[in-house]
Amino acid sequence: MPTGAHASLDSATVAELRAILGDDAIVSRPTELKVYECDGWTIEKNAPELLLRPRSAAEISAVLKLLDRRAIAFVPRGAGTGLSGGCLPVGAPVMICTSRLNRILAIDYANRRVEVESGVVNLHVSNAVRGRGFFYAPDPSSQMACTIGGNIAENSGGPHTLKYGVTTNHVLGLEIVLPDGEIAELGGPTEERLGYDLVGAIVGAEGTAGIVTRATLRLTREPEARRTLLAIFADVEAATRAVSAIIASGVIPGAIEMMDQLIIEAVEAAFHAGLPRDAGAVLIIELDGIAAALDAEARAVGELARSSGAREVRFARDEAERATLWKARKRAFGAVGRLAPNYATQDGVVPRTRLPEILREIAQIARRHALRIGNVFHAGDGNIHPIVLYDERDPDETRRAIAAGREILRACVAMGGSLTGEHGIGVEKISEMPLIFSPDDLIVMSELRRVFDPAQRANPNKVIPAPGGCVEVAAPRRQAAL
Amino acid sequence: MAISSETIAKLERDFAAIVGAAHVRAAIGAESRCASVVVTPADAGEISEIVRRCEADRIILAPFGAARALAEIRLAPAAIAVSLARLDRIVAYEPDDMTVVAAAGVTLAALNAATAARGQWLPVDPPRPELTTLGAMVAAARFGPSRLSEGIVRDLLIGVRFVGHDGRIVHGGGNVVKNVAGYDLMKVMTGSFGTLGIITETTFRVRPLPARRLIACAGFADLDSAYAAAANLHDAVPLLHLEVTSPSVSAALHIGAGFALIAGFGGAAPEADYLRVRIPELLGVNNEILDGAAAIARYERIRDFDLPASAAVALIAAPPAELPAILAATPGEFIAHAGSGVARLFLAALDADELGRIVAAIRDRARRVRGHVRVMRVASELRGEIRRFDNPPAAAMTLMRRMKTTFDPRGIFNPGCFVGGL
Amino acid sequence: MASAPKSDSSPPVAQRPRARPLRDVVDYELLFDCVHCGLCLEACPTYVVTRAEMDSPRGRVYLMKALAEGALDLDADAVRHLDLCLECRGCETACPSGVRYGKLIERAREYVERNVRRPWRERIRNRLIAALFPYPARLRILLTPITAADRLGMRPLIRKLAPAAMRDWLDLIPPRAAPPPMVLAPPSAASAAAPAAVVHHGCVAKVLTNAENLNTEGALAAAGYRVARMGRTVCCGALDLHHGNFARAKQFARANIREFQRLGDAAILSAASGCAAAIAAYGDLLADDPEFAAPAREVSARVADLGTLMLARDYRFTREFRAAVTYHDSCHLAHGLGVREAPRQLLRAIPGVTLIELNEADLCCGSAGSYNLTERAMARELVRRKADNILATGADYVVLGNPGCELQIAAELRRRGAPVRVIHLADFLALAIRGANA
Repeated sequence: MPTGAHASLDSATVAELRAILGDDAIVSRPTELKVYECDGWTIEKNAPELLLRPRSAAEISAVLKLLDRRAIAFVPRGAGTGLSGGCLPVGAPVMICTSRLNRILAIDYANRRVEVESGVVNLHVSNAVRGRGFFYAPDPSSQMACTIGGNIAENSGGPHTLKYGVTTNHVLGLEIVLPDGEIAELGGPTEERLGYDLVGAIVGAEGTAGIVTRATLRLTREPEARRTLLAIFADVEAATRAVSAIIASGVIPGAIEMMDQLIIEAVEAAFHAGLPRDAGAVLIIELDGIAAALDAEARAVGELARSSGAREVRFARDEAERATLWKARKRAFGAVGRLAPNYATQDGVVPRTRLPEILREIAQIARRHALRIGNVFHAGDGNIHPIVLYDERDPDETRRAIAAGREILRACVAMGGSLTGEHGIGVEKISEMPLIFSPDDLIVMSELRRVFDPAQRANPNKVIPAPGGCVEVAAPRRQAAL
Repeated sequence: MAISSETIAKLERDFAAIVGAAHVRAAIGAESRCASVVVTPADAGEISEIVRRCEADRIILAPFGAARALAEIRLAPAAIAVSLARLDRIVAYEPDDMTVVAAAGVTLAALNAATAARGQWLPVDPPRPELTTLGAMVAAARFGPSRLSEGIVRDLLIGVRFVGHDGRIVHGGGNVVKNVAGYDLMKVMTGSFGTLGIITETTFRVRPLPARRLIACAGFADLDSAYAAAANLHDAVPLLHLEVTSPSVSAALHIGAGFALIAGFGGAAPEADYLRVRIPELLGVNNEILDGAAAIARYERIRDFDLPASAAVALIAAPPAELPAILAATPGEFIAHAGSGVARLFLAALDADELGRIVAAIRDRARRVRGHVRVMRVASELRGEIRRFDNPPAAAMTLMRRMKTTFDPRGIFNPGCFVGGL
Repeated sequence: MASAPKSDSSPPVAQRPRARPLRDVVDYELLFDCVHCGLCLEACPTYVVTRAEMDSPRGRVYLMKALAEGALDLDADAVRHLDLCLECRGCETACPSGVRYGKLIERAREYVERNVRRPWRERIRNRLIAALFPYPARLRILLTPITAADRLGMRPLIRKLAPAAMRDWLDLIPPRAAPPPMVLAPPSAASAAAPAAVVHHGCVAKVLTNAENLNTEGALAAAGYRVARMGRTVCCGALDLHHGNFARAKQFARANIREFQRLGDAAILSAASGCAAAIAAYGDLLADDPEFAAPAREVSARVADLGTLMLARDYRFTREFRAAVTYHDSCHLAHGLGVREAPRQLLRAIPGVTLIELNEADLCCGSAGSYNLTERAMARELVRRKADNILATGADYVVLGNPGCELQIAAELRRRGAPVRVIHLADFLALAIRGANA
């Protein structure tokens, strides 16, 4: 598969980029580049040689045309909140950051659409439309900082995606600057696609199709009311039984989130949300819909939780109590930062019924490697987030943390699951791709990638491992990470 | 494409060597619009061999389930049709995980019969589920009224297996409901009309069947008031589906003689009970509420609705609030999925020229609001030169062309009838 | 794919910590609270403006870590990005991991001041600020010519003649034409049983906005507090902490602590939230001081705010005061002391007041102590944004809890000729209590 060798960056190119963008959009000094050497996945680090901070699709187009002529690879970056190293430069000297494309261009309530530039922050979309009773449904835990462009790259999810779907279900159209600098307008404001679903192929492509500059998103009507319950269990098994019982009953809650004991401890230390520190697991269950029907539904769900073994079920009495519970959940990752110097968040998926099994397996892996691993996750869709605690100053512990992470992913796959539910493959899981995809699958996927990026200059060396001995290729990098 | 009888005989011999003589036959009825020879392989392995053979000999193939979608869009028959009829097994149904894996030849009705026992269904509800195979449903991106509440194929398809060029058996996605590993081949295959490969297996998430299904109907003298009432309802309460119909369609459904609003609702008992009271309040005048078997029967009639005598049936997609203006300016009957901005139009025309003018006018109006039109069916005597798909914008078309040549370098997968002649 | 050069496809990884001895930049262990999640980005005013990682809290923490580990040298870029921080601590509110950013940046600034020789202009400017601001008498002398010019109506002329760098400074000083703030009657003797409170009158505040001190005391008295007075007030030390001058900050702190101790258990307030937050951090500042550690902790724990104290006494407004009001969260009140709801609740309790929420209410206005004098461009950008948001509310009053914000926002609204009145919570309470309508 000849892909055209990537060239390195020379001073003439830098000068031309400076002419296109102006000085304030070019970052070239090492001290400033240093802070761009990793995103939320901090185990691997690599600063770009040059960072560009364009303001428009036209500027990005001019830049990519130049890079295309010079055969220079690039990596797109939004807010850098990703958890799989998706915007880590691997063989790409130039990083292009979309954080300045941050205008909400048009809000169309009649059609329930909003058009935004790709650097707009996820939560800002919902904030802009909340007054009129709408919201933007995908709500990753980083929503107060992450960008729509980043969400599109990773096909981000969030707690409420159980009922409302992930990013790809809410992106109707987008504008993308292709790696050759051409600007393509794909999809549109309608619910039906015309021709191939190119938008669907780009969402979740981890920035390998080009740089998305604008998106038409679907707005969702705010439910009339919500009821949030906290169900407290002695162990994870009982909590999982409750999840299955609730979903089997025909209710689709807005969200069902589980936290295990280690996470409860961290969250309580940080936010005093009133979670019982002696519980083995808690579920935060949110129901939404028609106010008149919700109380009965909430009671029924509470009963199901109790009959599945909940020792206590609490109902949030008001918006403040609900906010406290969600704050605890949404910031659980960060709260874990208080328990150990470093952590790595995994993102495996298993069929929901296998949750107790995978959690037992994770506990064993933790014991085997003498590590602490907490679990906070979207129980409704089997998307687990084991958080492996370690101290980067202890090389052996770091090595064990990486090994444990890989074992967890392998266990997920063995149970019929997947490597990633919402964080993306990035650099983190690229060597595990052959666990779930055959060589033929990977060949066809890399062909799909080349539809958009024939020379593979957009975020190279991501998603699909280099053919032949992928696992080995990545291994030295992991070593170097220590 | 006129094929000589010797060629047909040779094709039959060649493919009999792969699938066995019993599974090769000449096309009959509507099938003959798709292809001359129908090959019915047993599994993906045989399909892979068929594809390799076709690629080697430049034989054009067209995959089909019940041959309905394909018969409508193929203007000239392919050499062979690959029927998925023998890939009819439900591979794995996991009611507790709410996922189902089924071969592409399974009909939607068969799938839903299997899941109904556990109170679940695959909530994609195109017309005539007993004639709709999963493969065709995915490839033609078919949908029905429930798209409003449950989404469409692209929202529910979580895994796909297909045979691509070089006979590669490829799979994308998996068996879990949330998964972002690898490129989204499900989106690529959905709505690709057999032009990128042959879908052999699909994995869907399934949903609980609504515990109760009710329908509210109301008649209106004009389209604007019907649409205003629909928008009002859509804003106020969660609905299962929401249709607005033109007078002839309303009459055929026995809902008065004017424009009609049809709103499906239901769910668990407290919600259904509340809506049973609330929706009539919101609708105000002369509405009718159906419950139980009557509601289900009405829902199925809406889902399966057709005016078979139409000169053509077209699908129009527009931003939802722009749709009524286009419908008002369009001669013909319609059933509009009001919340989604999608409508099926039943057009009358005397001849191909008139039909061409009507379709061109609708296309023009749709394009002005960045919508588009697909002609789904044309009466056989008028088939002529009616273009089935709108042309995508140039930059998108370039990518689609690349997509086609990448996935189908030898041009054998149902070529010539998709967007831009792909 | 194979074409990517092998060396390229393995990102070299950050230098191993402890490869070199740690530099004394910050309390190194505190850096590990940061998990690099980025949730702080949009809470940071400088990031919101520049949208660059090095101007974000996460970026600055990363720089501090690299400096401490010796992976970076303290070059002009590092200094510039650390300088640009407002120390508003908006990031602390956003941070899920409890990073003590305020503490980190104060230490880092001290390190910068110890290790960097600044250009002469900056040195002179910083010395002037340090020599003038904490001393009300000196500040009054400095202001005499401007007050005189105002009396003669010559401010516009002086402004025109002044170098650009001085103009923003000049604009901050309220013109005489501004309506004199209503001053509540001085507190009368309350019963000895009433809870006690004392207001630290500050230094700049005492000169420019002394009515706020008096109205804070008046409002407290009206709510039934026994208002004590400090015998001797010195600067709280916040200015020095921002500028990395720990030695003098500690000196000031000790003097204030002695005075507060003399006043028993009186709740400690300041009309300037920056001062209140600085006093609330005395415990940290003097943690290693054998003599003062315990009293500092005790004093810090006594810091309170006007809104909360008024609500605690269940103060009832008896007169109607019709006004559309919006509320700006001063950084050190909201992010430093965590006071957000109390002032709002108090405003809502005034009959006739409509409280309109301000977009980005807790995003710094750019005042930030003396920041608007040292980082003028960023300060201007932030106050423009603040003014846009204020004008979008359509409110008649913007109420806030810090004189620095007041001067900064009022200057911008004056430049725009906008009729919105910027008013300290204490002054607003004075209007509401007296029942006078503007």
